[in-house]
Amino acid sequence: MDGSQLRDLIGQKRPRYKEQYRLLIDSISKKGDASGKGDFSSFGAYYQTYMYAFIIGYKLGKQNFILQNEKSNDFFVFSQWSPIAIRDYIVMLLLNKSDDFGFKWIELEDASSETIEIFVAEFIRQMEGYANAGFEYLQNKWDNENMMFRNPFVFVKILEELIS
Amino acid sequence: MKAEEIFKEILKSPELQSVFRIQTEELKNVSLHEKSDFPVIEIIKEIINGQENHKNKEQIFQIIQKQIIQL
Amino acid sequence: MGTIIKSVGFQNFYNYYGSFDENTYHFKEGINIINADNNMGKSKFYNGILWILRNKVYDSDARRMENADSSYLKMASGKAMNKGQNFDMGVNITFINDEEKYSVSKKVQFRKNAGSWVTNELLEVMQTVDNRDIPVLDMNDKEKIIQKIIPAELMNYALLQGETMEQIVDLSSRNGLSSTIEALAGINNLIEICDLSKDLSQRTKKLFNDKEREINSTSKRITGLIQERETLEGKIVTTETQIEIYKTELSKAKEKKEILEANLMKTKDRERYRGMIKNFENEIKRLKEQKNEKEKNITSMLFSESCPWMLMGMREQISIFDKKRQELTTDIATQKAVSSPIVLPEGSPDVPSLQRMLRTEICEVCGRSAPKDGEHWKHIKMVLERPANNSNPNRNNFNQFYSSIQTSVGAFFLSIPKIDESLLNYREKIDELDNLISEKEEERENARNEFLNAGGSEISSDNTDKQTIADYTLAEKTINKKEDEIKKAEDAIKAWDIRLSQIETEIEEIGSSKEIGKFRNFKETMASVEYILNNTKDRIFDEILKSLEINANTKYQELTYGNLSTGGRLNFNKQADGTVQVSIKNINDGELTGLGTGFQRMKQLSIIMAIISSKIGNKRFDFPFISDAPFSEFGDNFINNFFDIAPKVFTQSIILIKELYDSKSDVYLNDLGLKVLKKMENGEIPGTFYVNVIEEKADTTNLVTKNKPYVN
Repeated sequence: MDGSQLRDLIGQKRPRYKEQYRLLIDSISKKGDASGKGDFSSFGAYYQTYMYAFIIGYKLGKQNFILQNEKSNDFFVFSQWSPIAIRDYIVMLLLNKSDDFGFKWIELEDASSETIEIFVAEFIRQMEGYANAGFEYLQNKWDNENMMFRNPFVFVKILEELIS
Repeated sequence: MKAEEIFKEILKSPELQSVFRIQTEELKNVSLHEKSDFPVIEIIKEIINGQENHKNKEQIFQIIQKQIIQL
Repeated sequence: MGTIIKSVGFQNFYNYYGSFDENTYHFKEGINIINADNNMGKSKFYNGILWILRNKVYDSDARRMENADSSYLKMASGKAMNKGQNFDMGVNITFINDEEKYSVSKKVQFRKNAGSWVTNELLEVMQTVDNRDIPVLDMNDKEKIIQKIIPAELMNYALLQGETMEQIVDLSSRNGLSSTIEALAGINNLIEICDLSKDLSQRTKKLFNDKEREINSTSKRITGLIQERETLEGKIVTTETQIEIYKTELSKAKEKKEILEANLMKTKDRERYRGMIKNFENEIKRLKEQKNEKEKNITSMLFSESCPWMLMGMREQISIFDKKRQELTTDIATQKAVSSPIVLPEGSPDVPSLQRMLRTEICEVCGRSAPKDGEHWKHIKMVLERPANNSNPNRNNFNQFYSSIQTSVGAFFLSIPKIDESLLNYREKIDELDNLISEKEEERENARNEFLNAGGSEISSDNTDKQTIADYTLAEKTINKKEDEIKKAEDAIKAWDIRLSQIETEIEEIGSSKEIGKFRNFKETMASVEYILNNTKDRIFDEILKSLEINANTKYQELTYGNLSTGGRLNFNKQADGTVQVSIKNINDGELTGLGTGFQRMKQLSIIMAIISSKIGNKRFDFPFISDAPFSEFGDNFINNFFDIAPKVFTQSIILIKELYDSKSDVYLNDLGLKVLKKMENGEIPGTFYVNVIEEKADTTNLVTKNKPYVN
């Protein structure tokens, strides 16, 4: 298998989010806004929200996996997320952690296509884990510090808090 | 305005010289409280004092007519 | 002689919530400044004074004076009322007059009775004798003491409220003029003297006529002429009285015309301010839209490809990735070296041959037999099953994938460190817009205030203006009519005077006696005395006005000193009807037009200060000068000049001012305020300096003002 095939495999996937965060995501996203710009307190397209939540989870180092019995919903197909550079950055972040979820790069070079399939599934699962952890964090903020969301810089501030 | 001030201002009137022929030097010696030789001055004084003391108009007239002009 | 106010205190009075102790200002000689923004108790302070001195308060909603006793509910502190418990509302002034100390308090008790408030007013006056406060009980005595604060005849000049200044100094109305002259020189007695002399002169005329009639009783001719003379003299007196009436009416019509003219002017002003407000509103809208756009853009900035804020602090991940890529390359190379590939030498049999060899169990390479599952046979099988190209032991090749990722995110390595600066700049830009918006909103507020001051309201209509024009035309007509009537009357008198001389001559021709000569002399003497006294009065009048003009001009120059646009000078113009028009002229004696309301206010303030400082006998006004917002039209320069002049004119002034206020400064003072404060601190300006602050900003109904003394 070569690189572009791997890319395609990953690109076909539709990462999921937990149903319980749907309201939150609706509140802070503006689905399919053509300009990509929402109100200051909302993201443009939903996948932007997903990426943002992912970054939060990743920075927190927390994951919130979707369990078997939990309701979840699909997102837009990964290959269509934009901007591409940021999407690739997310891929990079996960690749950086591939050892932690059981796949060394050198092993991947040697792996069968079944193994690669398993890797990609886990890759997406990891992504979901971080993203839903991020949603959990945002939900908390929304519930307990709702005033924050009246400030146009709310999403910047949330990130800044995580750095300090 | 005080009676003194009013009197002083009146004495500046040119008519006292032109109509009543009183010389300026003579005016210098004139005062509210001492009698002068000039009937017109006395009339003026009587009017000023009469107003200040709220005298009856007829009274003032009589004084002027009988005592000053002696008519 | 004279009064100095020592303190003014409030208890639950408008914004001044709490006891007297918490809301007292202590004053001295010199200038006592209370610096407060709008809605911070400035005009409420003034209302306290008005209540005590005049039983009135100024209602800023209705924009007029109201009787205090019908306004108690409005005057009471909102906070106190909301608490629902009984409380007292009041104002207290302590002062020293002629070395005697007094205290005057007006209070209203608020008692709750079955859900509504019942009020009870009290007036407490005390005199301090030997350090003891003795209550004054007699109502008349109380009133007399209140009068000592500022005497009634001076109240117009001593209590100055910015908006009502025009009405105070009005020399162009007979009433305004005479009350001004009276305040200046108290020449009422001189006027009475002239009236008296007129009366006496008439008596001598009557006496003369009677005597002449007596002497010439036999001559029908003469008695007829005397009768005619009497009639004419009567007519002259009546007509002269009538002329005075016409003059008063003329003066009123002129006054009306001036007010209407001002109104028409104000229409223009209103239009102008309306335009300004609209412009500001457009500006504000534009700026808000800009700000909105910028704020909306924030989330896309998180995902900006040139500088993605979302990736802040995550630059090292790129290095980690790069490292891992290098490790991979190393690992791959190592793997290659470790594994030993079995490579077939040249000339080796191809696949079909190998398959045949297995089938036939004969090795065609060495020619020997290779029995199935034997060593040799297994070797042939192994060779057959080996992958054709053994140079790469790995099955996959993801290098390209990783390097494409690296390329994709590469630029972020340089841009992520720039995120902080980018954020800072963005935030600053939004702050800038915020500031601009605030500025414009303030400018719009100012314009709106001016608009309201010019009589504008949210529902200004065309009809009021049409009415104004109609009234104006009527006033002009009246002016013309009265001027005509006056002229006709004066001409009639002239004609009668001529006839009177003719009668004199005729009578003399017919015959006269020595005796009648004496009476004639008497009559003429009294006429001359009347003439002399009237001339003297006019002369004094003119001197007072001249002196007022000079004095007012000095004050005007001092007030407008240093201003960029010259304010010209004041010109007092005596009108035919005896009233005085005060206009502002430029250097070439041309009428100075287009001056803002500020200069008009300056004109009035100069005249007031001149009146006060010309009081004959007293160089200085010995009663407190209390002023609310006379500066709303003035620039910094005027205000500065005012603080220089005021201590020279007034022994004590209490000035309520907002132009020194800056809500954003720590000390609530703008630059000018700081300058004035400094001058006060180093003694250049004597007095006290207070700033009013609001402690709880959130709820405007419970507005509570506290005062902070900066110099006291």
